[in-house]
Amino acid sequence: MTKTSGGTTTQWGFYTETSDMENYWSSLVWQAGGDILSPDKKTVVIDSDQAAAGIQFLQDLIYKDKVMPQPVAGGTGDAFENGQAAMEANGSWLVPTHQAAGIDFGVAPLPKGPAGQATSVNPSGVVVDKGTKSPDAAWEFLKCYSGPEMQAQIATLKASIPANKAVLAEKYATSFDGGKTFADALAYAHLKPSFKGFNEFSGTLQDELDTKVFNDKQLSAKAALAEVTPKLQQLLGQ
Amino acid sequence: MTALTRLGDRAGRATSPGQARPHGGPRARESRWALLFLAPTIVGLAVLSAGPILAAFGISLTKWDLMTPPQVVGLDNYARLLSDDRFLKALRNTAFYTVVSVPVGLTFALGLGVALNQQIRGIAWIRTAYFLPLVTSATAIALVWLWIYSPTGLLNNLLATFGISPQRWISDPTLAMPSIIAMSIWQGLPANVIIFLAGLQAIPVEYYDAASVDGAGRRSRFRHVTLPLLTPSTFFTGILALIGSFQVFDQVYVMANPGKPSEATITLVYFIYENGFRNFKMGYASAASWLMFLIVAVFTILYFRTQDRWVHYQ
Repeated sequence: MTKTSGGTTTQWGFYTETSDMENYWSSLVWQAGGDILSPDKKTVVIDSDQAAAGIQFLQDLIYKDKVMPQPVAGGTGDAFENGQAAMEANGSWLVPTHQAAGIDFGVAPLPKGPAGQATSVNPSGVVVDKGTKSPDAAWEFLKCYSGPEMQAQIATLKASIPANKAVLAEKYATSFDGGKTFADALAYAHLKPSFKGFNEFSGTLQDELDTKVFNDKQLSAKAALAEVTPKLQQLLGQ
Repeated sequence: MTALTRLGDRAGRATSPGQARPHGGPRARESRWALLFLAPTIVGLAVLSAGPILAAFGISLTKWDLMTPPQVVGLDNYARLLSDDRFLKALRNTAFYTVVSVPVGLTFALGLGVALNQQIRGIAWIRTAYFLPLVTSATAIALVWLWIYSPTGLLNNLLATFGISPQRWISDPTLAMPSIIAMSIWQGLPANVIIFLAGLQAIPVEYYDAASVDGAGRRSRFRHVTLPLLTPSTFFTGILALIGSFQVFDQVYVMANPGKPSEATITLVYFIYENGFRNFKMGYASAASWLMFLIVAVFTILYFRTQDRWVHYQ
């Protein structure tokens, strides 16, 4: 699906965002059998061979197979939405924007890796402050928010997958072509890591990957991850 | 001496020496009015500037994530900053930015000021065109330049007609900072040009006439009349540019990888913002801002000290 003309690519076969783990590369890590943190969340394990293999796959898509545009700092704009890429690996939240842009698209599950299927899910949740002065009111709101009516309303926006299982199966899965694929993917989705200090952690990790692996081919995935893991472990310990 | 000062002097001498000056004399009344008019600014500076600056020092002695109460850690933040790679990188990048953008920017501004000082037809329109960056928002400027610098953007297209291969102006670590500097110089020109223009127009024609009579050519007149008499303007624009360039933020925020400038482009203020508002380390960020304050203060004091040596006030 990648087309070239006179040495420059006129159409890319594939596009994804490399600047955050949840768009694609964390799924590749899990599909390869690796992970970012150990199950007890105390050790950084992203420098394992499997995790590195997952990320290396993405680097190869850019530099070896040359099927996706080279990422730049600041982003290139969504190549899929601009009609410059034939496929895109990205989040379900893009469905309403792609629909509004009038793109004729379908949704398929992510291809599985050596360790099976995996994808990323990241809750956008509602939080109640520990020290709130009106815990009862907060609780009432939470009950309402997670109830079928509000969840059905959220489902109509298509930007988030509803948390209420009934709404998920009935309203979201049937509301657009591809809804069911997303709903079914929850069965093999991994939670995006989240913990106090995550911003600094992912900032450091992403900076290393962006500058040395994705935006520029300076290091192999394994070398870059080996370089950054001690720093990440130190951040985790803080 | 102005009429007002002479009045004050006479009032001061109305009583014989040895007698106490009456309270509420014209001089004292003048001082009170002066204080009254200065009051809003003083209060503003105290509440909005001095207060937060002192508060920031207090916060810098703590570890505070905005959600839990602050814990006092003394000078620990400062110690950690001095061994923080990212902070040192930010310091180095900011220094590089300053060392390049200030002299180059002022030189261009001076040249432009001289060029715009001519009495040719349509000069008002030409000046307006050059002043446009001054009235455009920094974010809008950064966005347009982001497009100019994009791999498929204006600059690369232009260079392609000369057979130069496309460069990655923002992503390439060696090109990123110079690209941002070029944009900032363009952006800062009008402000400095205005000051230089005013300075140029304040130079009395008599000096040029005298120089011509003595046989001085254009270059000589520039070197021996224009430049020396422009030193007050140069001093002023210099200090503003110096202090301003230490605070570079907007350009980096918009142009660098959104939210995550790489090691090549991170600057001091961005480091402070990132640690305070993204990593929730208020104490650490405050300590960094105080270190930055001290650095700028030292440079400013040194700069003012050199004043006597090269600035000629008329």
